[in-house]
Amino acid sequence: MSGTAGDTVSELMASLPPELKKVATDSHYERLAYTHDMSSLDGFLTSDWLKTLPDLVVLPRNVQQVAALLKWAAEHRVPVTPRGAGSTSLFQSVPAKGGVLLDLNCLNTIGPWNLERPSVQVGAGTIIYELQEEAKKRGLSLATFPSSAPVGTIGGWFNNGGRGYGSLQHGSLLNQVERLEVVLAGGEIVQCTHQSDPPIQWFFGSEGTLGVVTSLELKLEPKPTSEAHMAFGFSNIGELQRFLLKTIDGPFLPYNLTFVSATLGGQPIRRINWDAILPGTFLAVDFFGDADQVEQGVQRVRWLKLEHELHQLPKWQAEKFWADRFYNFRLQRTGPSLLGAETLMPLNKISSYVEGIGALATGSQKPMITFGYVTSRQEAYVTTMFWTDEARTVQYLLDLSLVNSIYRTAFKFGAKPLGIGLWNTPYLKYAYSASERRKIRERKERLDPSGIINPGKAHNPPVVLKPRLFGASMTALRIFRKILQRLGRVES
Amino acid sequence: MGVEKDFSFGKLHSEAFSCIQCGYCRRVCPVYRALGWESTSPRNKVYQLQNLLSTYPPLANLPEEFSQRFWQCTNCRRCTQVCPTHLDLMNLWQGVKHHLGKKGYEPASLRSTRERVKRNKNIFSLANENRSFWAMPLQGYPKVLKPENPDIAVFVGCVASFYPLVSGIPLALANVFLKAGVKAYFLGADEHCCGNPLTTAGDLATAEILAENNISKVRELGVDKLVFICPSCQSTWLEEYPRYNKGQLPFRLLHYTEYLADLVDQGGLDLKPYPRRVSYHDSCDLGRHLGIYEAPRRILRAIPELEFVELANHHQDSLCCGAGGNLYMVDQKLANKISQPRLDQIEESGIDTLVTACAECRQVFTLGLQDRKSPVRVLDIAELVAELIREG
Ligand SMILES: Cc1cc2nc3c(=O)[nH]c(=O)nc-3n(C[C@H](O)[C@H](O)[C@H](O)COP(=O)(O)OP(=O)(O)OC[C@H]3O[C@@H](n4cnc5c(N)ncnc54)[C@H](O)[C@@H]3O)c2cc1C
Ligand code: SF4
Ligand code: SF4
Repeated sequence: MSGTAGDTVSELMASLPPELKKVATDSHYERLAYTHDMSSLDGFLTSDWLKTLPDLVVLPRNVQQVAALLKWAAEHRVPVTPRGAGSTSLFQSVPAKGGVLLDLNCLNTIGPWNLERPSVQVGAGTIIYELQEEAKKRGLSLATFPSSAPVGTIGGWFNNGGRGYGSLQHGSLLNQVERLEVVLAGGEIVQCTHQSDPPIQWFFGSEGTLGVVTSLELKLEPKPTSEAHMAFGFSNIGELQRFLLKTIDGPFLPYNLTFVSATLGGQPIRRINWDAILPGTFLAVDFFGDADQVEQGVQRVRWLKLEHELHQLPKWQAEKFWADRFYNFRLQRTGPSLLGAETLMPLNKISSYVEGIGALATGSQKPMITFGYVTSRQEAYVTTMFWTDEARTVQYLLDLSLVNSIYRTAFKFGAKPLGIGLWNTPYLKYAYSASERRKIRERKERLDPSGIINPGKAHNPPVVLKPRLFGASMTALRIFRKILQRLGRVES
Repeated sequence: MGVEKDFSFGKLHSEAFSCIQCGYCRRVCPVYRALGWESTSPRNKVYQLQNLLSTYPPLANLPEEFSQRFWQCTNCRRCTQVCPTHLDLMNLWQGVKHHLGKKGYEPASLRSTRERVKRNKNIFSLANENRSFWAMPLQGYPKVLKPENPDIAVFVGCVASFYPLVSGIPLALANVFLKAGVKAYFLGADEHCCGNPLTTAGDLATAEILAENNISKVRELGVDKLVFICPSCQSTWLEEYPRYNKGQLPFRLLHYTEYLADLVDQGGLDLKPYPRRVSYHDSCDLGRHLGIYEAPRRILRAIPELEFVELANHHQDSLCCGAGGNLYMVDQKLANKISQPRLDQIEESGIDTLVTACAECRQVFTLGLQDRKSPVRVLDIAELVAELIREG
């Protein structure tokens, strides 16, 4: 990972205001820690054309320090990359142009609470799981939370388009945010509401490119007093989709629906490693609420089950599957590495998509697993993964072309990529319509005209990731992979 | 030699590259939470390790911070507990420290401890013959420590044997055994350091010499139970000694709380009331490592009029006191910083008495609460039982 020469780094450090020097470092070892995220795409792949090594790391303790930093950054024209837990995988929170890495984890205060009109003010660096635990102690609950709650920060999740378990009933995190404190490029601190200018929604899913969120006021729900979990096995994904659509047809919605399809050539993949051993294609339905609501939900799904003559899995499996809701990445253990793609998929296309993935898996001789949870009556948050080995460079590079093939399969069925960051910049047009892209550009020009906040991402990709060049390289890799596969030179 | 742990680069490589960099371990790591810098997180330690294992030769040209970060660890096991890919991080940390030690990247305090252990057979600069000085106030000292045909042998551990602030623990336990009619044999000068400061630092060869002595001394007694005061010593025996012994040990390893809890259940301890609000701190080694959560609680629940409350984090979610993994030796300031969230929880719980079952935790909380001028009384369970036991 390339960076700035040592002298310049020390000069930059020396130019920081004294109150920031106390919370900043130019240690090379520390800076290295921020040159990557969950994806294994660092090192040789990024070293020549990106500056992933930040020049400084700053760990602010309060909003004033964030404001002082952004003021200084504007004066010195230094890029600033905001980062929460770095639990994303598209380099959203990895610098593309060096500068300051702003680690927001110490902005983690929880409170004050408003127990009458349940809400809470939280620092952007608060870990979602910890917020949920504190809410529970007060008889409250977050309406929705991601499957990465034990690691993700609330600010990072908000900036990443916050969808989670419970979104089916409660919508995305945007619906829960009542007020947002943001530091804009230049250091101005603004308090945003849904009606303010700029409004909260501008920042939602903006991937840290418009400003630094320092705190959020969140609406909370009463803690549910009852819960139930059911799971059903299916012989094929088409059946699963039909049942899924029936389950959400009508006024009643379960709290969550998760589906998994782990098959290769019709055979269940046994190595998926979830503790609750489940069949290859299954759907889990989760209910939360008061006893009556939960009972009603369970009864309704029981009727549907009879109607569809479904095979219901034992209760313990459904409960264990829910208990493992944060542990999808157990898959890794059968690794050594994982690659994959995450998309927002129209619900009525899940079956076609999974079949498309089945064909891809068979063609590439790679077992693939697709799982997802429903986030609205229209869409599901869908992940498809396969195993690879990042230590074997050539094989790994070739496998990267499969990621592109997964995306292309998904786009064919109207899906959108989940997040852009750096690696999905070639897919920008699938994520946003032309008019949405124009609006986003206008906001950026208005709020950050010098392009200081998280530059080099999304709308301003490096040449290598310009869609045409990227598309051509992926096609070349795909063809090369196919040839080697025929020659028996790539492993499944 | 029975030292067969696989610390090869190949093994470290395959383990390190199973990490998906998800960061689940960050939230729970007390060192990361105290310092805040990403480089201190278990996730980043694995990342930097991946990089250094990918160079040739592996682990060459180590940055100073690399070794510093690896030694800043309390061995609390929280990271291993939450890792979604089931990485055995404790083994990984031990393996890396093994290589660091061999290359001389070791904190000076740890190196001198290692020298002291080799020289004195304990972690202090004291002659090992003084191991039973804590027992001088016992009636019948020293004979009473070495009964004929003992029921059990007791392994006290270096900290409780020598450190004045906690030497009341073995004394209390010896009194309880005497009153309960248990013939307990205290190893005294025959006991050598269990080797924990060496094994956690990956120095298995020196640890083996200590282990051989300890195993043979207990074996000579012909007891079927070895009872521990220090959970870290017990963990070391459990985890490392079977390899040195080349097979299962011929006696059971028990923590004294397990032994006392059984005595309580059998009606063998008659305890006076303790009308106070009491909580218990699960230590990392006794809890997450040895899985002993209920025995201490069973004892406390048997005490009449004692009001038992749990601290905010308990059982497997308990917080670390900060002293484990030799951190108190390596970086006392950091250890104290780590203890602060637990001290906050203790104060917020509104208890009169905090009970511990680990000498190191007892020491850290006593000093930490004294600093805060807190009225909370800190006692080891053995001390509480000794205070409450009626003459048999
Ligand atoms: C196992 C696993 C499961 C996941 N499940 C889900 C899921 O169910 N739903 C979901 O939506 N995501 C999911 N994710 C993706 C991701 O973890 C979440 O979106 C997460 O909450 C991101 O938080 P973070 O703190 O790690 O953000 P980071 O990765 O640090 O940052 C994400 C983006 O936000 C920006 N950013 C971070 N903090 C701020 C701030 N305070 N101000 C301005 N910009 C900021 C960064 O620049 C970056 O662009 C999952 C990830 C993993 C590893
Ligand atoms: S929890 Fe495990 S897999 Fe995740 S970053 Fe930590 S060590 Fe790696
Ligand atoms: S053992 Fe504890 S202190 Fe050490 S890295 Fe793991 S969580 Fe951190």
